[in-house]
Amino acid sequence: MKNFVSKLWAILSVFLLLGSFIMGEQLQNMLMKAPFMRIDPYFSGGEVEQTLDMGAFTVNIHEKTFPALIGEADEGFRQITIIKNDTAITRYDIARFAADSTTRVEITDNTPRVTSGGKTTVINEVGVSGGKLIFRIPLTKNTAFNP
Amino acid sequence: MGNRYKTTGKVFRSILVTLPMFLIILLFTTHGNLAFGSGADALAWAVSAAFFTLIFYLMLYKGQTDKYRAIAFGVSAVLFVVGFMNNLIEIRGSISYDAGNIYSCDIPFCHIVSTMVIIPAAVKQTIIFGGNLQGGFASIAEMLVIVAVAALLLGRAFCSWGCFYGGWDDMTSRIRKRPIIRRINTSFKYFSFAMLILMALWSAESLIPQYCNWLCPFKAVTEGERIVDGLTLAKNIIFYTLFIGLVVVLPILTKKRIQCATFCPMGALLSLFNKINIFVVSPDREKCTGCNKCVAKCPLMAMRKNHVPSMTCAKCGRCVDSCPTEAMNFRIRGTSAKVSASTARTIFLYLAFSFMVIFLGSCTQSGLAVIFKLIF
Repeated sequence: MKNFVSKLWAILSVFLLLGSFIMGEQLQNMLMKAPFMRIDPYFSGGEVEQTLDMGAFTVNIHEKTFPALIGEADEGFRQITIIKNDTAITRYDIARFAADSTTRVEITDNTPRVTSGGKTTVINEVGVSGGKLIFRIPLTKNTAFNP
Repeated sequence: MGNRYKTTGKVFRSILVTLPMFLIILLFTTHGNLAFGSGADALAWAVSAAFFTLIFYLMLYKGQTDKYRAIAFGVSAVLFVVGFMNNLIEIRGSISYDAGNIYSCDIPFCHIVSTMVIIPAAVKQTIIFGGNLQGGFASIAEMLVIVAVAALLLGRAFCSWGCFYGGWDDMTSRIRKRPIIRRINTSFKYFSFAMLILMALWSAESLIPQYCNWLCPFKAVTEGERIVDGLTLAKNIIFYTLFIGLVVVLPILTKKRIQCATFCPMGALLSLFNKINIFVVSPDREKCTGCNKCVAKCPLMAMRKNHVPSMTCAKCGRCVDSCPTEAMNFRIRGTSAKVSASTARTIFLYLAFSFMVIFLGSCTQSGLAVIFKLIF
């Protein structure tokens, strides 16, 4: 009996393998329903809080994020994603806009400058990918902006 | 005359058993659609389908597992790199990535990352990787499903039959006929478990998959971080040094798969699943003469001194092929030694080779298509 069940399971495993590849998309859809199937805000930048239409560009202002394994870290960031609406544009130049009530952002020649509390700082951590310019405004828990 | 009938019978039997595999190859490499984008694509499909079918037939006809597995495994690993790099160039125009690609979540998810996303997925309920969740090239959902299927059905056999990285040190470990470094402490294989624990904890604490960030030797042949400052230069130096050391030089000197055996956290994780796997490699005590050939030949240093493979066995079949008395064999767990070893082997080959064809077949095809397009 044990021999039979073991052999049957061995043969079944071949069919299970083939079935799992045939049903791959359905299995992926099932997995996507799992609560952990969301990208950590450290990578995604977190939820988009506000979208600004600035003609040639769309600006996504993400929520403040303080990534930590448990709870929130003391230091975090706010991600700003600038998306080109016209692929012919070669440079990111955007008039000043408000990231939130205390922080304003201006982009000239692909370089974001953040002004907060009367102080302007160039943001260095910038990524450009597929028509998107991404940068992150460093924050601490108690201040709007941490240059 | 008798021998001729015997050979004809063996050929006929091998063809008969290969036929269903041929259908699996047809089904999974075409996805039921024979309309190819170009002549090079059609030729690549035809060559790769013929190649995998021939390899499977030879495994059955010659009765050797490792010898033919290694050919398919090595060829797939190299062609994977060709296809992968070409795909990256088509998608993003470069084989290197930078912060922009990470924050845009367009990095392909590799199976090794699975070891590092487990703790944050359980504790924080997020995936700590800048990739596509679903859809597109090597999405997170797609790879996690494949990893789960591989872990449950193949266990660590994935490392010898499915891992497109494993093919590299499997190949380099075969370059020399005899090893230059003969005495290696087999306890080094447990270092991969230390790597698994260390990488899982470090990645969870920092929310960054640190093996990929700092230590993956295969960044050297897939996608490296764009060198923009001293830090990224240092990372690239580490990637290339580890690749040359662990994947090229040490395997050549020792004839062991050093990267897979001692360094890969994925291998360690899959070893744990070997405990529940239905297929095992074990010796027939009545036939075993204790010659220790299996111990010496095992590329993953998994064979114990009592000639029973440890949990790190990747079921490559080298010990089975090299056993002079045919004592070592693939077996089905829970069955008595009376259950035919060749039946167990055939069922295992169906499982492992199907996985190889389905998982690596498309990489092989796309790699071949790139080469054919360059030639013609």
